[in-house]
Amino acid sequence: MKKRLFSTVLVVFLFSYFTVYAQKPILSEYPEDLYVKNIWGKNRLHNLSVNIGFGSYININEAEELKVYPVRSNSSHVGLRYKLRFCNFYAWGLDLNWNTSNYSIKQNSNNIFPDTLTHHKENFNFHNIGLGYYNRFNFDVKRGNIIGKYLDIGIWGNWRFSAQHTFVDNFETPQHGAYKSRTQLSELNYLTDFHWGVNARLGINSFVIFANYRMSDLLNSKYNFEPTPLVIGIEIDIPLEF
Amino acid sequence: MKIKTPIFILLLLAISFNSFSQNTNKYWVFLSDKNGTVFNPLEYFDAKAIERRILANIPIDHISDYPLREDYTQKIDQLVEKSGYGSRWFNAISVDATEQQILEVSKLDFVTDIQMQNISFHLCNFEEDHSNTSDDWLAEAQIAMMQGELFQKNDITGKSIRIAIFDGGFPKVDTHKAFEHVRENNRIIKTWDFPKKRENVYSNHSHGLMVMSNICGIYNNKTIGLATESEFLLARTEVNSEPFAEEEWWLAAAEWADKNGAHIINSSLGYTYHRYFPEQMDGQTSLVARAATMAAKKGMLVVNAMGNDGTNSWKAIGTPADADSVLSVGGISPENFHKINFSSFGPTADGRRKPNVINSGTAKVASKNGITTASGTSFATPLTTGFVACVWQMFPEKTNMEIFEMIEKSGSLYPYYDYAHGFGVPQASYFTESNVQKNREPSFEIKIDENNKVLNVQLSKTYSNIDESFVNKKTEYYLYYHIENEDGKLSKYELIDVTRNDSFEIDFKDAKNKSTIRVLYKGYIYEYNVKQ
Repeated sequence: MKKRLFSTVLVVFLFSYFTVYAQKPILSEYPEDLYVKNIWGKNRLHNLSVNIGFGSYININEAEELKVYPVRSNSSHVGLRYKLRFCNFYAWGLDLNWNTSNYSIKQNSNNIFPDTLTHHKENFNFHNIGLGYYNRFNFDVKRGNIIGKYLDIGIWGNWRFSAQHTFVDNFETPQHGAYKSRTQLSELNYLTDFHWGVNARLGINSFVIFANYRMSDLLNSKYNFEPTPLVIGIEIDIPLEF
Repeated sequence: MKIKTPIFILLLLAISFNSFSQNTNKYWVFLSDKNGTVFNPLEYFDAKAIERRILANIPIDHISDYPLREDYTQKIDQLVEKSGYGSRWFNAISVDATEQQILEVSKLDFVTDIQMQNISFHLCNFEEDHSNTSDDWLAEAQIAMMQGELFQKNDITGKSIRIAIFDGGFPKVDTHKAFEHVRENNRIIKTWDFPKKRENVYSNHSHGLMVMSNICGIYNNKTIGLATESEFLLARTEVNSEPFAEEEWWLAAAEWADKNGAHIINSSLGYTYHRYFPEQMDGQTSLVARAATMAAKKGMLVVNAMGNDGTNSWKAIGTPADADSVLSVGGISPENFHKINFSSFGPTADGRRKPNVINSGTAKVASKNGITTASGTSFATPLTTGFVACVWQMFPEKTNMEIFEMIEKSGSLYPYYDYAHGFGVPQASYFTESNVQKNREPSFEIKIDENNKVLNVQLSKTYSNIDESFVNKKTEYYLYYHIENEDGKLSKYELIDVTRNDSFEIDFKDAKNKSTIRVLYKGYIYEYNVKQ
C-alpha cells in the first residue's frame, strides 16, 4: 500500500515538473480570425450595452400642491440597451431597465398630497421595470467602429412593481420626551401602475446626458396635479464586446 | 392629462437638427483635369528631389506634379465656407462646407468626386516612463539590436540622406543637447507647421522630439539613433484639438517632403477605429494610405508605425501602415526579444504581409527635460528609419523599393516570416559583411507522423554553434513555426520559448492541402509540404 502511494506521489510530482518546464508557447495566432466580420460591435449592425444612470428631478410646471426638492428627488437606473444600425447617420434601439424614482416632497401649507398634514420629511419612491424605444441620430457620420456623438429621441414606458410613501415626524411627549416617528406605507392606491414618457439623450461614446419627461399621470384622477415630470441626469453606457 | 406638452424636447430637437444642417465638414473635392496649367520642375523641386527622380527613373514633370487649375479652385472657393490645401498629387482641394454647399459643389461639371475627410490620427506612442533615466543598457540595446555598431564602425551615418518627419511638434529640438551635432552642421533643412502655416515647429507635442532622437540623437556621447549625419525636414501635421484637418496636413506634408527632396518619410502615427473597421485596412480605403503609396511612387520610402492596438479589440494594423509600399514597423521587447504586447498584428485585411520588420518598442528617447524611456511602435519606427538612412547611404544608386526589399532581407528571421515579427529586426551585418550565413547547421530534427498529422521536433543536443551577436543570442531562445497556405497567407503561427531539449509536436491536422510548414530555430529553417 505504502509502495503504491509513493509511486503515485512520484508520478504526480514528475508530471507537474515536466508540465511546468515543457516547451512554452508564448504566442499562438490564427490570422484568419483577425478580420472575421463581426455583426456585433459599437458601430456594427447590432450593439448591446449596459448602462447606469442618475438624474435629478427638475422643477417645471410645478403644482403648488406638490413641490419637490431637486437632487434629493432623483431617479436612477441600470439597464441594457440594444441598437440596430441602419446607416452611419441613423439607428434605432430598445432599452430595458430597472429604475427607481424618489420624490422628496417640500412641506408647506399648500401641500395637499397625499393629505394636508405637514411632516418633518416626506418621500415617496417607487421601483419600475422600464422598456423604451429610441431613434438615434449620429453627428459624426464618417466614423469607424465607435459609438460616436449622437442624439437619441425616444419613448419609454414603466411598470411600477413597488412603491413606498414614507413620513418622518418629530414628536415630543411628557412620557417619551423628543422622538422621531417613521411611517412607511406600501399599498398606495393613489399611484398609477403604468406610466410613459419621452426622452432625449446626447452622448459621446460612453458618456451620456439624458432628459426624461413623463407624459402620463403618476397620481390617479383623485388629484388634479402632478409632481414634476422632468429628470435630467448623466449616464455611463458601456458597449459589450462579443 | 395633467402634464403640459414637453416643449423642451421640441426645442432640443429643433436645436439638434439645426446644428446638423448648419455643421460644416471637411471634404476633398476631386477635379477632372489640369488643362492649361504650367509647371517648371526645375523651379519647383529641390535639387535632391530631381536627383532622386532621375535615379529612380521617375519623370520630373509628371502631370501629378502640376498645380491645380486656378479657375476651378476659385469657383469652388466661392461656394464653400473655406477652401484649404490643394493637392497636386490627387488633383483635389480640401474644403470646409455645409451639406448644402457641398451639394452645390458636386454640381460643377469639373468635379469628379467628393470625399469626407478623416476624423483623427493617433500618435503611436504608448507610454512614457520618467523613472530610471540613468541606465544605459536600453540605449545600447536599441542600437545593438540592429547591430548598429557595425554601421558606426564603418562610418555609415545616413550622410546626405534627407529624412522628413511628420509629427505633432518638435519642442526643444532647436536647443536640446541630443541634436547639437545636427544643428551645428545646419542639417535641419526646412521646417513647416502645417496647422499654423509658419516655420517654427519647435513647440507643442513632444512626440516629435522623442521620435527624432531615435533617428539621429546623441546623448552623453551615446548614439540613440543611427542616422546621425542625415538631413532633416520637420513637418508638424498633428493637432489633437483640430482633428478634421490632419489628413489634409499629412498629404500636404508628403507633397512638401517630395518637393524638398526627402528620401525617407518617418510617420509614427496610425489611424484605426475612429473612422475605420478592421476589414478596411486594405491599403486602398484610406486616402492617407493612397497618399503614402503615391509618395512611394515619387521615389520616397515611407516608414510607418504598425500601431499600438495589439492588446485591444482592434488588434490589427492601422493605416497608412496598411499601404503596400510602406515599410511597416512593429515593436519587439528589448528585454525578452519577442513581439511587445501592444504592437499591432498583421496581415492587412486583404492578406498582404505586415509588419515588414520589427524594432525595439521601448527606447531611450530625448525628452524636454533630458532623456527618458518611452514605449510604442512610434519609437520602433524611427529606429528603423535611422537604419534605412544608413543603408541608403551605402547604396545611393538603389531606388526606394530596392532599399525596401533589402531591409526586409536583412531581417533577423528572414526568410522566415510571421504577422507579429515580420522578417525580424533589420541587421547591419547583412550590409557590412560579405558572407552572412543565413541558413545554418540543423539545430533540430523532424520526424513526420503522416498518420496522425504531426511533426515531431527533436532539438539537437549537440547544437553549440551559438552566434554571440546581441540579437541572435536572444532571439535564438525561441522556436518559430508557421503554416502557410498555398496562396501564401499564414493560417497559423507560433512562437515557443524553448526551455528544454525535449521533443515536442506540431499538429497540422487542420492544415490545408499544399500548405507549407516552416520551423525556425537558431537560424536553421526546416520546410515541410503538406499533402493531404
